[in-house]
Amino acid sequence: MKKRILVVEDNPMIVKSLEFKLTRDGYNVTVAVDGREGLRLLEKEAFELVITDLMLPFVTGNELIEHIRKNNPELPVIVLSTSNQEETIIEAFEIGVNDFITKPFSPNELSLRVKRTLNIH
Amino acid sequence: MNLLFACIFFVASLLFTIAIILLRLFKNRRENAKKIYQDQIGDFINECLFNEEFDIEAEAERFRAEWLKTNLRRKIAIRQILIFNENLKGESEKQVKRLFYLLRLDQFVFEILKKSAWHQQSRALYVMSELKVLKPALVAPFLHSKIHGVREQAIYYFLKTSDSDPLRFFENLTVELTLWEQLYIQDSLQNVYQGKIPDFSQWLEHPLLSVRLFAIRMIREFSQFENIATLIPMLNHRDPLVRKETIKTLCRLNFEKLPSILLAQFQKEEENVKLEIINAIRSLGTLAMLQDLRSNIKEDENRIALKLLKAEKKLKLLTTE
Repeated sequence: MKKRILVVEDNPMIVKSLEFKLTRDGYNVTVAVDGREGLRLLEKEAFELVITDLMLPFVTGNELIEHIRKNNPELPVIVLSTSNQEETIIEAFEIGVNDFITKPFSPNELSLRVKRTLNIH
Repeated sequence: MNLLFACIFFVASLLFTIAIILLRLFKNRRENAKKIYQDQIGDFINECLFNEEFDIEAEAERFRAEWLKTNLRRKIAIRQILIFNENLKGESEKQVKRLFYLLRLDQFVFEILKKSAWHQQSRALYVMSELKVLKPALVAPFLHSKIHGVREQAIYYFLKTSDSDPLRFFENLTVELTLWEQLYIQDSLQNVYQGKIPDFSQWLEHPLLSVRLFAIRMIREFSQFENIATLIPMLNHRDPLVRKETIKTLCRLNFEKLPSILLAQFQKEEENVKLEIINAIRSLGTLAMLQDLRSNIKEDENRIALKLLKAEKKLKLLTTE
């Protein structure tokens, strides 16, 4: 059965590319265009991995990750963010993300990191 | 008569309302079409990037012939390519750039540069900068454009596309740089350009005053201590603006001999330069040096006298702390 990935991202281009690439890699991809929709989907459905931006409308990426850690601590999270500041990255790891990818990103690298994260968990 | 005016007013209002509704409908239709085009080109780019079975060259040729028929579609395609280029790196970024050429959008951009209105030219220059289209000879004439926005984009192009010599376009400059342009270049050097920062002393003898001043300022901003010796003779430059900027830079670079040199030339200097000298001596010199300046202040130089008093006070405070 295909593994399910939730992508929470508000940039339509990135959403489309991730959806396209990850679907071709054999995953079942669900998209949420803001944090609120992400939370709603997490409560309704089960996923094997979450890929999220940090700056999201309504509910921020950090809030979303904190919610995941409280309610589903085993669910791996990869952050895809434009921020390359050390402070932001450290903060993200402190609240429990499994990997951090900065934009601009390489889709092939992201694909490998998704595979690795899913293998570990 | 009143009835006639009422009728005219009614008809005019009606026509105006209809015109607004039609414009709105036209805009909505255009926006919907844009959205569809964006999705179509987005899907095509994704296929090119991630579908390994996709014959990119053949498909690009087909897409160009069948889909890229209007200028609106070409413009949307360029915008989508720019968005992909901005968000992706590695092989995908290279592929996006390749696609730009395969779809012959470079030719479309060159056409805009040759014929279109200034705001479209400015946009075309931006596209060439972002996608690193190497056509410096084509862009160089825009450095002399009378329109600030176009000039700025031409400058950005040279900064963005250069790997080792970002300010080479200074050679072609014949019009003084505005303060905004100088700030823009500085910001681009700090945040956009990724190569080695050039030695700014090569432009200290440039025919344009703004370029000379910019070079002196950049020596200061990028802490080029190796240029101290080259800057010293400029303390005697014929232009007071150059002398003032040189003092500022040498002060920031902590040139120790600066206070004693400035003490000797204080008396013959212009007001603005004198003010800068006081700043420099306050930073690098001693209280006694500042006090020495007192005797060289003329009766009517109230601004300088006040500045000197303030500087003495600050230095006294610093030495007692």
